[in-house]
Amino acid sequence: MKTAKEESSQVSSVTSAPQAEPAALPGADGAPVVELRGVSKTYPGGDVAAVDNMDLNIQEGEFFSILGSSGSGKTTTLRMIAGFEQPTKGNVLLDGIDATGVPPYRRDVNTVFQNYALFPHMKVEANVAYPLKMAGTPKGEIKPRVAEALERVSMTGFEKRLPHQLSGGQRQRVALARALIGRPRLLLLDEPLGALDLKLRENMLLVLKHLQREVGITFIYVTHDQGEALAMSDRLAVMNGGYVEQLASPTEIYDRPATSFVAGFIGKSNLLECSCTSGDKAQAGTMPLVLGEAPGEEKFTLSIRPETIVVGEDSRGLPNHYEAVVGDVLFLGHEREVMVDCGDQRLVVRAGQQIYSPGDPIEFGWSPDKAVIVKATGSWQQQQQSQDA
Amino acid sequence: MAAAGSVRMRRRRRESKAVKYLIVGIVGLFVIAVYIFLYAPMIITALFSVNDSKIQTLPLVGFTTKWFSALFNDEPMKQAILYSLKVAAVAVSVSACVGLAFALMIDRLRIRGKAVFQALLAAPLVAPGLVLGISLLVNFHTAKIEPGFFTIVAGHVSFITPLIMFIVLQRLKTADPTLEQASMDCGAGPLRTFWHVTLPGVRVALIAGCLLGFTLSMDEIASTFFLAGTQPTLPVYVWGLLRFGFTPEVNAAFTLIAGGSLTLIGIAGLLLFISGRRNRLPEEKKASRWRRRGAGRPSAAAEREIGPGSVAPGV
Repeated sequence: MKTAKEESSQVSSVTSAPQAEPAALPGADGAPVVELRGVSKTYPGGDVAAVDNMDLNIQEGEFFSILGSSGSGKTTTLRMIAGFEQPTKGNVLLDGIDATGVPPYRRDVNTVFQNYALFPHMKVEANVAYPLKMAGTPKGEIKPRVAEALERVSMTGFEKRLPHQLSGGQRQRVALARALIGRPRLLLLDEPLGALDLKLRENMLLVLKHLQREVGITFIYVTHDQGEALAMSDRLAVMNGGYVEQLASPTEIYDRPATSFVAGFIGKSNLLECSCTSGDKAQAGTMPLVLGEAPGEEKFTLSIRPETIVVGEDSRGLPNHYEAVVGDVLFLGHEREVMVDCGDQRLVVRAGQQIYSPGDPIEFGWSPDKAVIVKATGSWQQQQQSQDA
Repeated sequence: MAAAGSVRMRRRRRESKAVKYLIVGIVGLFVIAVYIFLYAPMIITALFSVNDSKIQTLPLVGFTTKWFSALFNDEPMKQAILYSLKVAAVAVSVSACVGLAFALMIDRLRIRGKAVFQALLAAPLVAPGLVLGISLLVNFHTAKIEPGFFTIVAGHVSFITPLIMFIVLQRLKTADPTLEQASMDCGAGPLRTFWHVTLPGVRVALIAGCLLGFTLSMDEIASTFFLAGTQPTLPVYVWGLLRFGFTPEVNAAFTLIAGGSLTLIGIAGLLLFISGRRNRLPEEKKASRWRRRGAGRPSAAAEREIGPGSVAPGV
């Protein structure tokens, strides 16, 4: 049985169908807060696209991260969502409405800039009040809201300071307060912790995470720090050379990287170039392997996280079990990383509390379902391009 | 052996020290000589302006302010001062608007040949006033415009505008471009962004530029001489006085002009220095130190042109 509400919405969508698709209606149910459709950006004078044919959906209330090294196109993507750059191709939709070409001051989007971009001639309170003043909020309402916003980022008492009288972390908080005071639909954060030292950064990560939970605003967080991205996000996109390599939850990205780039960029991984011998058997150099599933292609890359490799006697029952020689040992404080030479392959394993020295014999192994077949980064892009064509 | 060696070394060190002192001494004397050359005429003029004697010879006989009071009782002189102030005020106001607009355009436009464009605008600032005055006069004459207030203003605007433009441009170059983006991001359109963010950012540079422009306008004589009609500005009037003989009144006038100019230039320099310090972020200190040296250039040029130089020949 349909409820009356559903019926009426159906009727309205039928009547409006000739003008617009239901997804393009303002505030239509399930319309993503941000949608990129085939967005490309080539900067004038450059022949390589900074962002190439990108599709992206970001849902209401999500903490979404874009992770990539410098030059991967992550900041360009953010700037196109903010409206500072216009895509050369494709559309940017905000709340289901095409916002391509809409200037930044007409978008319900706020940005926290990497260098904070606080107005140097205004006091903290004037900086934070700026979006409200521009929106024409009544004077009586501005003061309590500024106080509230500053309290939320624990900056009460700094109202009369000028930005140059604040420390980096304090400026960061004021920038956050300014970006959030207008209660935007979407908050963009461009490497907001990049200029802070480690201790402050960890502290600000918690502040951000709490803030997002409290205010329920959709966050898009751009970073090159995989730790930040994994810790904060509901979903994240890993970008490389203008393409999205993988878009998934942090656990999935970590446990099941789609490409060799993702496997190498996020955490550490052993990447083995393998060729299939028969069924679920394969060979990496001189190393025989048992796979969890039959690979689709004859040549493929296998990614095995060091921490999924079992070291010592416990590994004896596993289908992939090897005896090898220790090559190098790295002491990392909380654990020891051991490079093992097994046939002509070199693998990294975690030795835990056991102590090995170079030249020692070592046995290790892994269960086949821990090893993930990843696509080569180049072939993945070619495949995408052939799909577009 | 070792002792002898150390003695020799010590002696050599002492000798090199003596050479160093000698060089420092010569350089120091040279610098002092240059400063005396620049400032002594001004100081002597100032001294004679309060000397109680009609004849300008040493020794000084006594202190008096009568030359100053004579100056302010001289009706044509007062007229000339007021006229100069009016010209300067109007010329600086116009130049501030135009200079700011050009600075913004040059900073924002991404076009080829921007440097040429910029150099062409700078030409009136460095061109001899004589050339400027004659060429403008010829043009006004062809256009059948009588020389007078507006022709003087037009002449002054043509060299104050590039001055203000360069000072503001230097500030814009060190400004953080993300500030304007942040303003737009906060919901301010281009006009309100200009008013609330861009303009306050260059405010100090603009004021400093106006002060320098004001002194330029007050002191300018070459082009003004051609462009003034029947009513002279202060420098033109004083120059006229000189033709009928040298009175201590002229000393008083020079002292006022020099004092006023140097004060304004000092304030402008101080403003630029302070704003340059305050507006830079700690991490870009090194980069902006170089840029600020560039920013100081127009004011230094102005000081050379109008400060001591224009006063010294009067003595």
